[in-house]
Amino acid sequence: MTSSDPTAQGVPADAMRRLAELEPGKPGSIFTSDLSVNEFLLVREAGFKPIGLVLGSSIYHVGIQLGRWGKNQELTTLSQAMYHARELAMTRMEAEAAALGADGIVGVRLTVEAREFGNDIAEFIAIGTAVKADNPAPGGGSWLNNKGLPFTSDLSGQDFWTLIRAGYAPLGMVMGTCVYHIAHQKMGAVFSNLGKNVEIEQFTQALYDARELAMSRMQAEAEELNAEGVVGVQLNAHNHRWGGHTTEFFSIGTAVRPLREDHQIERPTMVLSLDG
Amino acid sequence: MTDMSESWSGAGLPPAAAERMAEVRGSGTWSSALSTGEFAAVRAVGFEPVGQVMGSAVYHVGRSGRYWGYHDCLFNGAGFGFSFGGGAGPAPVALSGQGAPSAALVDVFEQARRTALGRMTAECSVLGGDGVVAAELTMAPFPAQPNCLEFKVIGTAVRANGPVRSKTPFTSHLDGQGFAKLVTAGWVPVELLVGMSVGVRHDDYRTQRQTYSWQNVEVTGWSQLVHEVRADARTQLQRQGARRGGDGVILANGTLRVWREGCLRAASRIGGTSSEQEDHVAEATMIGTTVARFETGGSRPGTLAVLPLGNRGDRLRKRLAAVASSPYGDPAEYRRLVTELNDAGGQG
Repeated sequence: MTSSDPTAQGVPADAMRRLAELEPGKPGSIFTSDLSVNEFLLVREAGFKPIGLVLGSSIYHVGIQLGRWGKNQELTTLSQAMYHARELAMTRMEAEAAALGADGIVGVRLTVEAREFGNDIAEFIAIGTAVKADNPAPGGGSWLNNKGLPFTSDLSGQDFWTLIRAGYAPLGMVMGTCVYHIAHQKMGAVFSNLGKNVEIEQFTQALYDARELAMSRMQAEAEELNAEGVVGVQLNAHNHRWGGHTTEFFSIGTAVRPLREDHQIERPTMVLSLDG
Repeated sequence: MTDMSESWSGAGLPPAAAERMAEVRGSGTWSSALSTGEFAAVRAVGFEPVGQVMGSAVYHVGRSGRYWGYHDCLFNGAGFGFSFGGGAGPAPVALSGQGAPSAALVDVFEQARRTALGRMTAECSVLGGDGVVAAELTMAPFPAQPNCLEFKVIGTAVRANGPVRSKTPFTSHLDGQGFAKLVTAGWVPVELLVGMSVGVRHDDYRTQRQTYSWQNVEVTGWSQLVHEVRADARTQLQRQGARRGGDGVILANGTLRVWREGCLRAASRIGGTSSEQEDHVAEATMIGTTVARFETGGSRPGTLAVLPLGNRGDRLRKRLAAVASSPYGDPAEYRRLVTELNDAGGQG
């Protein structure tokens, strides 16, 4: 195995030579990337070059809406706010990537943060790494999605590598959200259930309704992109700052399309690590 | 050890550091904060540790208040009533990267960080190292004195096997494994960078109206503030990276801090020490390492898909603890590890 010994191959010497020959770069000749080392290397190996860190943010003031105390209902103003603000952040990030001539954005993190801006105001941020493909997509197609925009994906570099290897390409991040007010129990119901372990159908139904709404909205976005499917779906409940009985259900995933017919990954090798 | 009585001009290494370096170099025994795994990884790609190195600098950094005037919003309408101030147009973002007064503050930070990094690389050179891996750059308040900050960077110096040397040692935030993976794939770290930007924006009439709205509305001025500050930090990072060259920057971590300050400009307009008008200040910091691609004779091994049979849970937990204790542990990496740990389930 001497041929794979890096020192024998002169790897450290080659690295040092490059370092010694470094020259100051021209502005704009350097890319920035938010990927970890593992991700960076895997994205490169999947045939994509990082070209820049892209970001979009929106600071959003959420309007006021009151839910009826005893009624299960979607709070449409809040749902729309969550949707619109995320959409703004994503669009701005995509615009930056398109300006760089990117084919896609990987490792997108879409987060909401409450900063020192005051109540009812939150920052919605989208950060990712814009990438450009070394080769055109198999079959001669473009990597851009059917809206002519760079693809987006919240998959990590590891998942991205696996996805490309398996013959799929991301199309875009799809999301659905629903802010729901869950009815309080009526006095009579509380008393009749006293001391009993029973299902509260009203609550179950509320959670079902809200989740189904969020998921069907995500589904609709995926259909708009002509996706074959959605991978890596996360369905989360966020309580933000609206108090009890009001919850945001947020589902997000990456819509994918097939690149080729056979979706085979080479058979994995079994390994036993000796370092742990 | 000496009793610290030697005086020091601030140039070169402090006497205590110079003495330790001489001792280490003489003894032939190295110390390092690398874990066994990191040590093995660094050795495996043809580098060996030569010693633990450190750089530190304590700076006095006064920040807020009128005396320093760093947080001037540069808005002509500040201090006027809204009916009049509205004529001054929307408030701009006073950005350090574009020469706003806060640029002086950013310069102090940059200078302090560069001093600490310079002292660390000086120690590395004395030990005959070619670069520093796992460099952790931290900023902490100096306990004895208010408004003083200690900028400290600590890492492990390594030396490349082979005859080729570089004039300036490389510095990198990557741990041993990260460094090894990078070198294996044909990339060499170049320099640890910090991009920083401060932006100030006056809360003008439009901003106030938006925050008191009953409807859903984007607070456009604040969106602009955070976006420009982040974008400026990114530009600073690229600018610094271009100084020594390289092909790209891998980010270790980025933070954004936002806070409210009484408007200095409005206060001085009405001749008082404070006014009811406020500014919002945003400060973005991005830490990363430039990398450069190199060509090598041997063929590079491709990535292999594997099914691990080892005690994965323990290893993940160790990685998780390492990420959690690092001063700029990547939050994304942390979340990934937690998910992986949960996924591993009974297989750990």
